[in-house]
Amino acid sequence: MRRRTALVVLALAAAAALVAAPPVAGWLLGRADPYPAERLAALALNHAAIVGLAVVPTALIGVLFGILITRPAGRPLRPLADAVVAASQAVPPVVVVALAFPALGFGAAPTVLALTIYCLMPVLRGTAAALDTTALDAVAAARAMGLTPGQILREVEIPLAWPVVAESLRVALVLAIATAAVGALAGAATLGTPIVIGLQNQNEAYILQGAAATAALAFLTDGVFLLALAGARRRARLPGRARPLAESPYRPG
Amino acid sequence: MIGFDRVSVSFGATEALEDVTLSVAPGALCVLVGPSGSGKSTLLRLVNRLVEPTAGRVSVRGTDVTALEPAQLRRSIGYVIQSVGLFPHRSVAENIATVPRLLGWERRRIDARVTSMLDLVRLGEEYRERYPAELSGGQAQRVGLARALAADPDILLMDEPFGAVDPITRGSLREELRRIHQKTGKTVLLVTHDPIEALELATQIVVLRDGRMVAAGTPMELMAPAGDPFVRDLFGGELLALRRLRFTPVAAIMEPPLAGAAPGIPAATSLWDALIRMIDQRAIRLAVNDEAGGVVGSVSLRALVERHP
Repeated sequence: MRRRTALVVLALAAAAALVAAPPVAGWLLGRADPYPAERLAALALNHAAIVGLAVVPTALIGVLFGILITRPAGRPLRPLADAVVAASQAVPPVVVVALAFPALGFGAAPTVLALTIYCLMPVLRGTAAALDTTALDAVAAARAMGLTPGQILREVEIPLAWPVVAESLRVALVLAIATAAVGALAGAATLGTPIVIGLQNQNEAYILQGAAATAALAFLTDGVFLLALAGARRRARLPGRARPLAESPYRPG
Repeated sequence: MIGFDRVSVSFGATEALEDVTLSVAPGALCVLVGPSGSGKSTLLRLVNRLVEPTAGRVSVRGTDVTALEPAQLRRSIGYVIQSVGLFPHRSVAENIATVPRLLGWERRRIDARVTSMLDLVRLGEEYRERYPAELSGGQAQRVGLARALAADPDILLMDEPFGAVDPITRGSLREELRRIHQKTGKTVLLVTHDPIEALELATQIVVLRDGRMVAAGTPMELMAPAGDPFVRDLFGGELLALRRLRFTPVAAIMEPPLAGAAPGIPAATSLWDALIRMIDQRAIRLAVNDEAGGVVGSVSLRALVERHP
C-alpha cells in the first residue's frame, strides 16, 4: 500500500520536474528566457539544506516533548505545550521571517527559524496522539508484568506509536519543503528565488519553474520517505497490512 | 501465600474496598466473584501493587508488599487480563518470553521454556512465529496464559480471563485452567462476574458486594441452603438445590449392589450426572462400578433425593 503510494508520488515528482525544466517551461509560457537549469539545481540543493537544518531540530524537539507530555510527570505541561504549539502554527511563516529578519539578518537563518517553529505542531501533536492511543491494553499488561516505565516506553509504546510518529514527520517534512520557498523574501537562496525574481520582472516562466521545482522536491522527498518506511516495516517483520490503531488486534472467535 | 489484613482502598471519595480480611492458602484456586463495581478487580490488583491500599496490609509469601520493589514483585507473579494485552509487534514466542527475558534468563533456557509453555496451553510449535493479529480470541487468551506462566511464578492473578471469548471457547479455557492448576499447583486468584464459573473452578470463593466481603468459603459451603440471601440469589436461588448435586460423587450415597440395576457408572460420577443418566435411561437405580469395571454398589433415585448433602 505504502509502496504503491510512493510510486504515485514519485511519478508526480517526475512530472513536476519536467514542468520545471527550462525548455518545457519556456515552451509552455512562450518565453525564450527561462531560468537556467544548473542554477535551479543549485537552488534546490540549498533549499534542501535549509529544510534539513529546520526539520532535524523540529523532529527532535517535537518527539521529545511529545513523549514528555504523555508521561505522568510531564502531563501538567500538556495544556501549555498544546497552546504554544497551536500558536506556533497560527503565525504565518512569512511573518516569522519578517520579524526575525532584523535580529538574524539577511539570508537563511530567519527561514530556518520560521520552518522550525511552523513544523513543530504536526510532530508534537502526532507524537502525543500516537502515544495516547497506542494499544492501551498492551501497556497495561506490560506494567502488570513488571516492565519499568522506561522499558514500557522503549519496548511497547515507541515501537507501536512509531508508524503514526513517522507519518507526522512526513507531514512536517513536506510542509517545510513547500514553505521554505517563502524564505526567498528574506534573501535565503531557495526555490522561491525564481518566483520572487519572476514576480519582480514579470517573467511567468521563472514563477512556474520555481513553483514546479518546489513541488518536485516535495514529492521526491515524500516518495523516498514512504519507500524507506515500507522497507523499515518489512525489516521489522510486522504483519504486512497496516492496521488502524483503534481496531482490536484480535479476530473474534 | 496471599494475605489481606483489614484492607481498605478509596479512590478519591469512592470507597472501592472496605475492611477486607482474607487469606489465600498455597495451591488454592480462589475465585473473587461479585457484580461490577464490587471491588473484586481492585482486590486482585492490590496483590501486585497495581493498586495501593489506603489502610491495612497486603502480604505476599509472608512479606508486606510495600516492602517490595513493584517491578520485581510483578515479575514474580503471573497476570492475565480480559483484553489479553499481547504485544502486537512481537511474535507469540517473543510475547511468551517477556518476563524470562526481563529476568535475564539465557537464550537457550528461554527457547526451551517457550516450547514447554506452548505445549502446556496446547498450541503447536507452528504458533511460535505467528503475530497476535493472526490469532483467534481463544488462541490469544492461551498465549496470554502461557506468557503469564513463563517465568514459573508461584502465584497467578487472572482478571476476567475468559470474559472476551465465546461460550464454547470459554468452557474449554476453563477446563484448561483447571487442568493446569491441578498439574502445576500454582496459587490462583481469579476475578469473575459469573457465579457459575466461580462454582465450577474454585477451591475457595470470595463474594464481594459494594467493596465489602459478604461471604467466603468452599463452593459447597456457599451453596448451603441456609446461606445469606444475596449469596443464594447470586448463585442461582432455587436452582442451588440442583447445582449442589454437581459437587458430590455418587460414592457418598452408595448402597449395596442390587440385581436389576441398569448399566453402571464410575463411583466418582457426580450426583448431577447420575441424575441425568437416570432420567435418560428411565431407571430409578444405577449400578456403581469401580475403576476396573466391577460392580461395587448401586445408587437409587430415592437415596439421591433423600440423602444428598
